[in-house]
Amino acid sequence: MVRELLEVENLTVEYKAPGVSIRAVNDVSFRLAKGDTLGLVGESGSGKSTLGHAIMRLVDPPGTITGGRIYFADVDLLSLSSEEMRKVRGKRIAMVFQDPMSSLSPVKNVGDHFVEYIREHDPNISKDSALAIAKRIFEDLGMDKSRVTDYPHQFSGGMRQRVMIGLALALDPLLIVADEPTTALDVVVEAQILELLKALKKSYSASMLLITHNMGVVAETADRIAVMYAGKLMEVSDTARLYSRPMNPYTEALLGSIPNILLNDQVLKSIPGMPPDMAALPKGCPFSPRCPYVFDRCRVEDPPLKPVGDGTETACHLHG
Amino acid sequence: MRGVVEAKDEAIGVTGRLLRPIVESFGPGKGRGFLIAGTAIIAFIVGMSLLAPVISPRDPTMYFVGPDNSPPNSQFPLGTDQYGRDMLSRTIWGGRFMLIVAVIAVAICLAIGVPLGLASAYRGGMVDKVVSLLMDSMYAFPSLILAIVVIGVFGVNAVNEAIAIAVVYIPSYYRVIRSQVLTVKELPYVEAAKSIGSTSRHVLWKYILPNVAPSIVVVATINFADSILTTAGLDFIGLGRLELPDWGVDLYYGRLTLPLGYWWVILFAGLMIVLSALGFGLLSEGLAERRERG
Amino acid sequence: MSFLEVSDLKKYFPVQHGLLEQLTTRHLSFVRAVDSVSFALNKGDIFGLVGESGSGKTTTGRLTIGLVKPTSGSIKLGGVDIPGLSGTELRNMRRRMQIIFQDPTASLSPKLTVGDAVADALKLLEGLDNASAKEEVIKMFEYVGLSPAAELYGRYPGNLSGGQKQRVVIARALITSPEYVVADEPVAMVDVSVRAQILDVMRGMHEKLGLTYLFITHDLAVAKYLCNRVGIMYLGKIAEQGDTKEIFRIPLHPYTQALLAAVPVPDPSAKRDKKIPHGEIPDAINPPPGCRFNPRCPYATDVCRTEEPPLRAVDGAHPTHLVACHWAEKFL
Repeated sequence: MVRELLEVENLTVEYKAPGVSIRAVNDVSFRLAKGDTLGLVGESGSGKSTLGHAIMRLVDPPGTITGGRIYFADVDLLSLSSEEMRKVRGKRIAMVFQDPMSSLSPVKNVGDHFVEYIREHDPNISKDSALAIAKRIFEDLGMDKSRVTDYPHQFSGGMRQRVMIGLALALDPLLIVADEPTTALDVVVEAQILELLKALKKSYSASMLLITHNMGVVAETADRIAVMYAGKLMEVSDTARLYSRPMNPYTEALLGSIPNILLNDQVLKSIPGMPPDMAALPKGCPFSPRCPYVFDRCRVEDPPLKPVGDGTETACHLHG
Repeated sequence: MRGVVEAKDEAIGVTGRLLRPIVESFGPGKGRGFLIAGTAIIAFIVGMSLLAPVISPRDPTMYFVGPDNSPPNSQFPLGTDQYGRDMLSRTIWGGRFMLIVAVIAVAICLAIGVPLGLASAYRGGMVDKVVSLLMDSMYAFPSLILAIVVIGVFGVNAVNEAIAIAVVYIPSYYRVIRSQVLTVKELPYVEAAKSIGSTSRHVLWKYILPNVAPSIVVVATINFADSILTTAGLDFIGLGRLELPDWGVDLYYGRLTLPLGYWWVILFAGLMIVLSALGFGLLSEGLAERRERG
Repeated sequence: MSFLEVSDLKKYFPVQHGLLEQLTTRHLSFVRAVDSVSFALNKGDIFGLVGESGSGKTTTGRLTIGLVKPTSGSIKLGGVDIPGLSGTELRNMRRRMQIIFQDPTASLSPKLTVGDAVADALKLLEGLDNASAKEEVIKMFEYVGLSPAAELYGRYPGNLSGGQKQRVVIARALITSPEYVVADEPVAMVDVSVRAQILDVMRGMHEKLGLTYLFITHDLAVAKYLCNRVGIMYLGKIAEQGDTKEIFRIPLHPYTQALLAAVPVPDPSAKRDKKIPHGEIPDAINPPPGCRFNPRCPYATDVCRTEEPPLRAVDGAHPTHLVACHWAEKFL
């Protein structure tokens, strides 16, 4: 392979409605190396979820991908036909969503979900072999394999999410895109799932794009982190470095505003102002109205994402 | 986007704020075509009916203003009927009675159906079950049959017809409102209203009714259309006020002379009836599509 | 006497059965949402009621302000017996006790301007007329950071951001200067960067109005930040309660320890003893016998499986630090 497993170049996704055009993803570029977990963090409206969907080419109208390239295993996914992309989905890139209930059919038992899914991508596998795979995955997920014949509603929320992760792994994909996989779960179950994902990463050697708003979750599971704001990548860095030496005012402000349970007498500094109005973004840097370090250039010129050494990239006029 | 809306609000004041939802309804989006078409047709018909005394060329009830049964010509653009009455004048005047009946019918339905639906759904329990059962049994009753009976017994006038139509339509209002209220009453803002000390009446009036009102309008427009058709139906079978200029009445008379080849009496009256029903139908469709989007 | 006294509070919800089941089963089953909860709040406390889903924390909060009637048990606020109040008395009492809701969008009627929504509280509870109410509301908007207040008064919820809407909800709850406020997950549905702002507003108003908060949350980190006392709930019962600093310093209940270990921390260098319990929260219709946490507790013994542990003080810990565990002493 010439490039990294996933290389996104200048990707732009726009939503068009009468009178408005919104750039949910604005000229985003990043790389994900094989075996790595990249945490994509941002608040609601930052575009992180749209970006995840765009990589799978699952952006529905009125959204369209209007620019850029998505190189996956050296192939530009945007150049593939729908049929070719369909083959990629599941087999090579799998997705795990926030709400397992909406992706599981209530009238099929879980084993059937696996069997159908596996055989759709490879009709040569027999039903029995597919079911055997399902049972093996259940074991890997720490679930009782006799429950393979149960229906989705018979599982608890955490178990259903395990089933979703199992389905994602069933075809041994190269990349898993997980969109807020633990947000709807209680904190203890969330911890269980995160431990599970860490263990599975080793045994299945899948790379992961983990999309979330939770800075605690990515601190634990990601090797590198990309921070998004108003559709723009503000900073990309190694996990350790992002928290100890953030190179972007938004990252710094975000970290300073979230409570850390291990600290005593913490003083939180809220970010002044309001989240950006995507239909009316300010000129220049989207964070400029709320940035404590803002100066004139910020309000005029939108800073591009640039490397600043140590594997860190940031989009800020203060650096580079 | 947010800023623009506030600027508009500021500029037009309180009355403007009330009208804004109405004006906004005609903005771009789903159902716009229907809304515009429907409103245009209704405006035309209502306008014509209101202005009848002014724009009608002749007295629609006067016999033999011209030769009887003459086809459309330069003197009588819509022809004359068997009594020599000017069809153009009759057509211009013909909607008034029907519209009056429709307005009274809708008013009765609103006055009874809406509070009933609100109270029954909010109260819940046995009361709700009983009233729903009652309404369901009334729902199946055909308005035309009931109207015939009422008129047969009590005589024919606008109010009687309106009552007959209303009685059969109330269950529709009740149903629509009830289903909306059942949803809305579980929403957090209703609980919030209670938490700031609202009585049940206050909750219904200030928090629930405004949020279910849009669905009422949809039912009302269909009600209008239905009412017009029922009145026309009654006229057609001779149970109308035959002395009035009325499209349905013209159908009744026109039917008699149709076999002789005098097509114009029935045609224009029939067209106007269809047009009215269509207008309200389009409006209601447009409103329904609007709400889908929102 | 404490300001809010909750004693042996229970709330059981009957499970809805289909017609056939109703005719054939002998007894109804109940969801034991709140199953004997007792605690007391002093004036000025910010008491964090922490728990995951099914813990009963939300129901408990609503019980204390009379939005839900208890199955049994007592609730006394400032000496007033809350469940015993009649409809009118309860409505009058609302001036003194209020609630901040979780979902800022759903708790505001889309057809009322936010100013009217808040003014309504004043008109209903204090009998103010439109003009005076509006004046008060505009002042309150300034306090909670809704600026420019006069302009925002006339806006509809649809034209406000999540953070702004939540400030409106707070304004509405505080406009009658209540003494006691239940905050039901007030920042759970607000953007991360705005949460600190909202918590600041709540803290500011706490000082300004001398409020007592019952702060319901599933987020332990937020509870630690804001609350001076916490109560940890599990499956309808309180597992542990006490001063915040105490609880976080030496958690004595295995469930509290599990929660603390499970919370994701925004610090990759933090090393913690990650003893995550297996399994999930059982359903509240048939809770496990004995200690409710026993099926998932790494330290469970026979006594845990048969006898329910009482909520008690522990020798060697602060007297207000209460734990419902047979083996609490082990963890000192």
